Amino acid sequence: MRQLSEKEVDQVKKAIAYKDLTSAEILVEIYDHYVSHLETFEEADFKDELFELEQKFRYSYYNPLQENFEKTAKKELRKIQWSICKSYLSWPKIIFTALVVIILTLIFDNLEGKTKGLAVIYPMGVAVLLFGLIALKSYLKVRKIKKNIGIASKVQSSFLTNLSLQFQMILGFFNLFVLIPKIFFDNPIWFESTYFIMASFLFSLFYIGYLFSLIEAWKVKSKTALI
Amino acid sequence: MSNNNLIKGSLQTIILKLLEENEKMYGYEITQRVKELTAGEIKITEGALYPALHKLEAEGLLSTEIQQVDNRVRKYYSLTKDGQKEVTSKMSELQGFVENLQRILTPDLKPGFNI
Repeated sequence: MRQLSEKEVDQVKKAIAYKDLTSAEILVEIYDHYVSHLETFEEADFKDELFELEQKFRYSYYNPLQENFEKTAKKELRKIQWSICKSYLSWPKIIFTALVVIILTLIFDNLEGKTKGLAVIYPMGVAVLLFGLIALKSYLKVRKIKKNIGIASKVQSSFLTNLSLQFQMILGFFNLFVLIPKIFFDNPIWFESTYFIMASFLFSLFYIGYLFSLIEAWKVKSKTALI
Repeated sequence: MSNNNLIKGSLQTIILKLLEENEKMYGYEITQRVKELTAGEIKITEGALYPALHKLEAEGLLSTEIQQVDNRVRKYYSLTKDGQKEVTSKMSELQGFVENLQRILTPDLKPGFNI
């Protein structure tokens, strides 16, 4: 085994950059595979071996690999979220959550006008802020790798792609149920309906719970993945 | 030796077994270790290895760790607790299959034959 020369490393980086990979995890793995493989050969064999690697790592191979990795990342995040939800299915935790819900309901009931509206929007603001922090942390991790390989294209962690989709889903639901009716109907009567308030409140609890599981999943994966 | 189809079915077991013996390994290291152990008779292709590793990771049998090595980042795989349990069951499954295969290939062997 030998160390590759600077010129050889540059050739490897060029070959990898040409692939236009978008998943940081796949990029790291393929680059390491190339270098580890080439290090086991003599300088004279470098060109042939690099050519052979290029034949193996064609678009028809790495593109489905990338797409499937996105799917497995999604599956993994869901699995972690589900295990977190399951860990909450114990009586002490259910009772504690019920107490928190009752206190929140009482506080929410005593709020008036604009403050009531802000109380619904605040958790959403916290969600956006948290996602911003997660995205920044991941960006800093991936930026180092991109800089090292010399890639300028849009590369990000597949886990971040999935997390951002889920955050967008939460925000999308919020827009659909809270903001859009405000635009199309000028203070509709059903806004004051007990059923609507109850549904909004339950929905808010659901999205806070979902958000909580999402952040817990991020905490687990951030220790080992590029997020 | 063209044994790709034979390996396909047992690739996950091979990966899990190697990771049981070695605390953590990276993709290329796995291919080299298999080549070394079988004197080059079995070669795991990249086309099969990485999808299998990602699948095992998604199933919660493997965990990953990103580490800085020389001037690059390397992704290491290791067994999770579930993965450690799975190795035992996969190994006995494979062993049973090989024994049965041996009986089919050499019918003269006694029924109590064990590898």
